[in-house]
Amino acid sequence: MGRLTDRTAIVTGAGVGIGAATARRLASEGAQVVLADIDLAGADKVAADIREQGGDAIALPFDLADEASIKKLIDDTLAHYGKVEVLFNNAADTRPAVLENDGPAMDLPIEIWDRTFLCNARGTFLAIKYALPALIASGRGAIINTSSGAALLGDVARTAYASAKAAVNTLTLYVATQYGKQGITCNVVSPGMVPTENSRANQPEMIKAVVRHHLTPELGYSEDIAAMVALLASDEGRFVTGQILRIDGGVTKAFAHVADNREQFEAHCSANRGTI
Amino acid sequence: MKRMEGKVAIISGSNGGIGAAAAQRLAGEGGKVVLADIDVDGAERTAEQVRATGGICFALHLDLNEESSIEHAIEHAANVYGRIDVLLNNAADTRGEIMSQDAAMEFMDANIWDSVFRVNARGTMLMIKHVLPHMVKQGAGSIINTSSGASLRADLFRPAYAASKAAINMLTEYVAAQYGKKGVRCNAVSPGLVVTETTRQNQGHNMDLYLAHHLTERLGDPDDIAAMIALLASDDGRFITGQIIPVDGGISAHFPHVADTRGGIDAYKN
Repeated sequence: MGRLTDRTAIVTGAGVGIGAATARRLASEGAQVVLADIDLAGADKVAADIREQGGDAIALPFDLADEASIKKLIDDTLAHYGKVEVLFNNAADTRPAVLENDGPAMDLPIEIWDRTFLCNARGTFLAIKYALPALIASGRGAIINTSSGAALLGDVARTAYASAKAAVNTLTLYVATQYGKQGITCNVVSPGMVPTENSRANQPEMIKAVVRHHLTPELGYSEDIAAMVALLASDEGRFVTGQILRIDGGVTKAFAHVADNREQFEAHCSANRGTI
Repeated sequence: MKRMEGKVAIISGSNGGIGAAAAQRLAGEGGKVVLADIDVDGAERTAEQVRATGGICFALHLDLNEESSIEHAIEHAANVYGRIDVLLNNAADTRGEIMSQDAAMEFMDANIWDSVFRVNARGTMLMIKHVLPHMVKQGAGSIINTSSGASLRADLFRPAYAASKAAINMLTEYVAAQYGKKGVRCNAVSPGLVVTETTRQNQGHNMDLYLAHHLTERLGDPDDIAAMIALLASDDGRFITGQIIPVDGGISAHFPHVADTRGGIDAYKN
């Protein structure tokens, strides 16, 4: 018996990365998983993989920018599985055409701001709104939203992305507060840098520049986020609600100058090891 | 799940409550567990329960007041099981005679303040200090500190306890910053009101009041905290460090007036 046996989970943005890894993890712990993605072919491929390994999964198309599509995702899930206990709001518009133009405030086109909020904030809100009746009916509904460290600290670019994720963080507190007594938990997972396989292989200089500011030896993997989502989705997370869980190698926790002073710290340690 | 196979954990404050639940959980996931407590008979009772379910463990005496006791406990644990992968700093001085005098600041006896900080903050620091060489040598380790919601929001009682837990929170971030690159992670779990024998004794009369201010339908259980500890202790937590993780039924996630106005939400139903 897995921790998620007999639970139905919707994972949005399940075609790649954190969404795909989480769909696999939830299925491996016994959940029936609905993999929703605007890229249906991508979600289909992961779902087929899960089924091949003995899991129960289907893929459904879904467009975060379209209210009717979001409502249909919930309706189709209920039509197929009859219930839903877990909603993992992981989808965001991260197409290069959007992210590359999401610059500093003075240079940020309003179309990029609007599109980002339409998908990442409004879409997340609507998925919660339409899923809540079924989640409440289950008596043990768990909502988990993917946010970002960008929502917690300032950066030079991705102003709209970060602001929309901050909206998701606060929405999480409100949903947790409003529906907690009806059995709903609502939390955020806030990843640090989780590079794609592609950038891990092809951008070693970028990885090196980023990893020095994380406190861990390595950057994150999608599976690291999936592990926390699995806890929050299961009965083991029933007393966790309204939280922003940072799975970020501590990148948001130490002063910015820590990486610059690390050599000095190591020298201090070495010198003292010699004298003690 | 058997995420603790091949790993050794030492738990301070293991004669009951969260420490005992964590011992049961980590042993249940395949870890070898050292149960340390000033009440060694209580730790031995926990050890018997862990063994009864097939877990591997032993109990030993630990007095957080004494650095020599701390050094001895850690060396003994490392000698018996050959390594230390996980340190759960869960012990705190929660004796009624201390807690009851940790109240209004104008009457605070400095001896009470000192004794609380000596055990909770200084004791935790020394546990970390003496376990670090083992973890750095291994290139891997996970330190988990039991903090408290009292370190994140003000209350009227127990300022010394709360301030000592706030010290532990910051220590958590420093240890994460200093030793993260050596493979050592350090996190804190911050429980809400967890129903144990100790909380029943100290807070029993207030249980309904506290429940109204938690967002969940029930108060906490030691197993809730143990589940998060198990994640942090295992490789499932390998990208999590420097965090203070509330497992608190959301008591710190909302405005204080929410319980007073909860009925108001119905007015919006259409």
